[in-house]
Amino acid sequence: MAFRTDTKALVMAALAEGPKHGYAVAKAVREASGGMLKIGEGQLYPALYALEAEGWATGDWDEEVPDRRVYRLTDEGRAEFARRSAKWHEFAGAVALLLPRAEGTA
Amino acid sequence: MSPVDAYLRDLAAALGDRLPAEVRAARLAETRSHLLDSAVDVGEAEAVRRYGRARSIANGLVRSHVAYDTESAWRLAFPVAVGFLSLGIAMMFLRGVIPFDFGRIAMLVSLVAFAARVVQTRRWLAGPMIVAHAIGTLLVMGMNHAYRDYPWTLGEFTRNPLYIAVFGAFWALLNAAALGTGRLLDLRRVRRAGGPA
Repeated sequence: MAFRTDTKALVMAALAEGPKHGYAVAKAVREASGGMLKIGEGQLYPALYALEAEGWATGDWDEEVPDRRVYRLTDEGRAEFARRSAKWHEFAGAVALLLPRAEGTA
Repeated sequence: MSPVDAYLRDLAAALGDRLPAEVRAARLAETRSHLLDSAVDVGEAEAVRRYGRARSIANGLVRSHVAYDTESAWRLAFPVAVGFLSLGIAMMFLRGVIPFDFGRIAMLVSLVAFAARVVQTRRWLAGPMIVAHAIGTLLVMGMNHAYRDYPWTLGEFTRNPLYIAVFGAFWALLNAAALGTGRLLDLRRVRRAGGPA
């Protein structure tokens, strides 16, 4: 599983750091990855709504800033993120083992 | 008018009435907040440019809502199919009480109501459904043609309550198949945009 194509995992990674509104999620992903990973707004909000629908995140209107909705991971969301994260590490570990051998024969 | 306001106007127009009023207002408010936050970093014009075309954003919002918040195709079609069958059976036993035209009108009203529900939630599905209906019509016409020599086809047969019931149920299931396919496509699109894995 590639995090690059799993928008939900990227969003969950940003939310795992703490509650964030939509723009902050996109910014956190971009900045934490050194600009390598970017979530388009057309993908960001459907992903956030999907997390809500799955019960993996909740969204509440910010009481201080009008029109701003703040999302936070639920316990189920944290468990799901841990599962996806473990899968990714497993995959990345396998690639890390394979590449030096393949490069040696190239 | 500021670029953000102009964008929100375009987005509202692109959304039309495809979302419930409360959801639509919430999505527009959240978009406004996002654009204003982004504008602090890159300016309003760039924030709007980065957000993407209003029409495609609107379609994504509608798709993600539809994929989660509407009933399944079968839940829509099942009552229609049961309604047709009940009507047909009732007409068989109460031939003199329920006039034939009532059955035909009831079938028409059900189909129009069903189509309206589709247009309301999945406007893009109208095309595939018209194609599905055209195929269904051809099948029925073919059946009528193939059995044209039987006395109970055409004239008498099309006035038969059982025909109305079976034909209506077939039509409802055809709708469900088209709608079910659309729902699968909805889910695929939402998944591609980060929806359910």
